[in-house]
Amino acid sequence: MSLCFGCADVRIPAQPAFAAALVFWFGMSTASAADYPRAEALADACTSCHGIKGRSHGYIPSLDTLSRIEFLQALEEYRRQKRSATIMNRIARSYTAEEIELLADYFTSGAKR
Amino acid sequence: MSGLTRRRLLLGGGLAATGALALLPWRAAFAAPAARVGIVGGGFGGASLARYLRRHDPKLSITLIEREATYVTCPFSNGVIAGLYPLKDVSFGYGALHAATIDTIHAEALRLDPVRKSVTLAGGKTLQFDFLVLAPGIDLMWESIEGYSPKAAEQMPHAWKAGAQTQLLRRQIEAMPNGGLLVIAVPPMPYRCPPGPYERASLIAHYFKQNKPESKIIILDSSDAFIKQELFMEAWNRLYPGMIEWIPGSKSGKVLRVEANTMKVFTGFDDYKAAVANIIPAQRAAKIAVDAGLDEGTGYCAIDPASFESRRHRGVYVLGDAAIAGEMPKSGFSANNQAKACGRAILAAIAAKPFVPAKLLNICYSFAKPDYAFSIVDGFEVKNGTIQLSFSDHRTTPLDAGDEEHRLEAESAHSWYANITADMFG
Repeated sequence: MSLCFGCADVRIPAQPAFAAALVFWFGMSTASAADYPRAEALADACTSCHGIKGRSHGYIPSLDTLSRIEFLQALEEYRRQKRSATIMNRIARSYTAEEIELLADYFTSGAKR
Repeated sequence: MSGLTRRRLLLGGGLAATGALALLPWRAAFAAPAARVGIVGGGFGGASLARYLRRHDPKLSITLIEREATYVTCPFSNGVIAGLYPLKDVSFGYGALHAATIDTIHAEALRLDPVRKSVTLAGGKTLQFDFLVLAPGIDLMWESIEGYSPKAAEQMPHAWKAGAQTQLLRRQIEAMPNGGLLVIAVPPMPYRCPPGPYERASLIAHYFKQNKPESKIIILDSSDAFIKQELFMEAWNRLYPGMIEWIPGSKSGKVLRVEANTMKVFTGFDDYKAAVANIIPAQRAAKIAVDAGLDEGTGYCAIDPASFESRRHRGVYVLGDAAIAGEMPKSGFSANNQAKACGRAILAAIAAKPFVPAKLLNICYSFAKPDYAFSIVDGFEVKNGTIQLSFSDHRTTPLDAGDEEHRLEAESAHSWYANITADMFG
């Protein structure tokens, strides 16, 4: 991208320092911090229904009050069509098991920091 | 990512590498002006993007240009037409955007220069940006139906842009006699909110059933099929038997001409004398995008499916109903989701970093009556440069679902509306 607003000389730091800073900043404990951008890219779609940071008004469940285990268990069961739901069993087919792990880290620890 | 976070990361990296590098971001942070993002249109695309960018970057210069001081959502506006709640329940001010230091300018954007990334407002003022985002929605193609015009729409409302037209259609439905005929004309695809006309017919039927049980609804359709068709028809048979008639395009359903003074609606085969005529004309991207050539003559604007950057002009982005988003429908949910995808791309461009494209979804509820709703769920992925459905089966609420399932879908729909409007205006 050509637009740098006078900061073209800025360099992205080496990956280990970058990852360490992300861990520091976002307080993530379980997932690799390098996964944070991936988790966020997935989670942004969730918040359209579940509210900003997973805090919902009304019938749709809040995500930030779930434990990591509760989150993983529910989503994995929706994904495998083992748990009935209003609509979440249909949506969960859009995610891989690994993506569900990333989302669990994002909503149940990252977003609650 | 916020400027503060970026600085912290860069300082950390600099200390780990060389002392000289550590000084550079210091200079960048204090000497460089904040990037300027201009957004035209304050609906589900534009307002969502403004809030998303501000949540991620407290220093970014964000300007939102929106003609109206109050935004009335198209989602849930069919309930206003059916008399379930007043217009104010689907109306939102921009106070929260002001409070979030988003420079919200209530003026008409007359034209833009996609190369200079500038916007000229009514009154002549021109604003210059580093990133220009268009979320202007649709314009109605009056010429698509002979005899239809802004003036004719005062007799035969479209109510496809929520606000005064919504209230006009509500007043007409309230004033019409028991036994009168409501005609709903459905335009050809692609148009804003594909299930909207059928939800509207359903909720007005709910009102008729209680207040004007002899009245009938005829849907004159340009197409031969519609989204969630089996679920709508199941609901109509269950709730409103004999009240709603649907005439597909292949049976001369397409409306070709109207006469506002006689309230007559003409298809190729028949003409209908309506007590109330809801005429929804064909649509295209709003004039400001078309005038700038962003639609390349097609009526809608081609975009990169990861960033929503225009295919025509670098640094110009198009969101929501005005964009060609592959199999993503023109919905409020889509526009909100696209805003986050675009926001990620813009933040990455400012930071001169690559980005992970956002997950794209669309979830759309329709009401058959206040406590009876159903939904369609779409996951998307980018294949061959366009946005395509990830799965085509089991997207909708199953047929033969019970009353309790439909009631919970209605509760979900209200909860979704509360959450997504809080994301934009709360």
